[in-house]
Amino acid sequence: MNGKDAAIERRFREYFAGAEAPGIDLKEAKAELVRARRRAAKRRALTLSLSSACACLALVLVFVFALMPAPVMRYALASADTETVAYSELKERFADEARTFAPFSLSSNATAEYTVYSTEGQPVLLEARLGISDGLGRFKAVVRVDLTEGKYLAEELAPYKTLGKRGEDCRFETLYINGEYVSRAYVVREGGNCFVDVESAREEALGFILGIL
Amino acid sequence: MPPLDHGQLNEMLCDLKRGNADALDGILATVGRRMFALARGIVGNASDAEDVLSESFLKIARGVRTFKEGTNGYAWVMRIVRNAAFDFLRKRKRTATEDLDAFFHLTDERYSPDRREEALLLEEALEKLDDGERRMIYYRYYLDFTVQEVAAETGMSRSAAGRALLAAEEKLKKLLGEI
Repeated sequence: MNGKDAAIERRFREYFAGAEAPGIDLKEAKAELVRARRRAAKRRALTLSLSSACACLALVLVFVFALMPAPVMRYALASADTETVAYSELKERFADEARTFAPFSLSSNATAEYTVYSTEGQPVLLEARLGISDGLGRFKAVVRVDLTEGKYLAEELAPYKTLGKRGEDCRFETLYINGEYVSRAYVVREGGNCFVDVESAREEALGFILGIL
Repeated sequence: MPPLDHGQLNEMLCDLKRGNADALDGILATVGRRMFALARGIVGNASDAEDVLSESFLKIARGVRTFKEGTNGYAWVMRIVRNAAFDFLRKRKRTATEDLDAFFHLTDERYSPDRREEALLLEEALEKLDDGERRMIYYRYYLDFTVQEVAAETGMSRSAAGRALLAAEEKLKKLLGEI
């Protein structure tokens, strides 16, 4: 019971029991679960079938890809043009991607600074630097949303796409450095793929952020 | 009405994580009323609260891969509802508030006649708490925050939050005639 007072907890249990029961249909949520698992299963099947291709074909592919120019435009985050903007402007200019940051902009438990990164005159990345005070204490996070559907990739963020641990739709790792959990993640999602950094005294902080995205 | 079994809820979340979509029915049956009460307290009406709840279950289905066994599943679920409610208000350009009055006046809307009398006693007692005390009760008994989480939410030290919670609980129990 999480250390709560038994008498009060009993009173609230009865209180909630008499409240209006929600009339909602879970069909869509169930379908979403199935879709998420299918996406993960497809990726696993694709990985298996690629692995089983003959060795010479794999060598030829490596050779061809080594000669071909990279299909993804790379840029350096450190030297990209930056523009600090308010959330209201972010919403106007990048409605779909800005939704990623909606829970943080609205919450009284989070502070946020937003930056638009551009290269060669084209916006490529949205960044939110967050200070969050929640059930996991205070911690910092940086959430970056790709605006280019993968056509542009910051050099500094490329390693995120090959992080070790693989969940459904995401890759992540957490290291324990100087008494803090330092996490990175790459999340494939509608509304823009995300690159996430979290520093926290609690290991669950990454999961908390990923649960919101 | 059986007590809220945190272990049982956590098992449902783990079951959901393994791909059993029917676990969503169990979650709705176990904590749906609390989720609905929280949503309604934030968005202000039952119809919008149902939309928030539908969205919350979508987010639960989508995000369950990140749920970690052994952590507080109830708090995880309620956090999703809270954030979904805030997001709902933001999309409709409405100001986000957590109206403590709305959380503690469930009997104003459709409420079971059998439980109404006891419910009104609780609501009456809650009204006699000051805002700070009611907020402590809200964090602890609605959102299932730990003392540490209450401290983080309010910016208090852990010990101060613990004392404030205890004081609020003692006052409420006295008002309810439990001590």
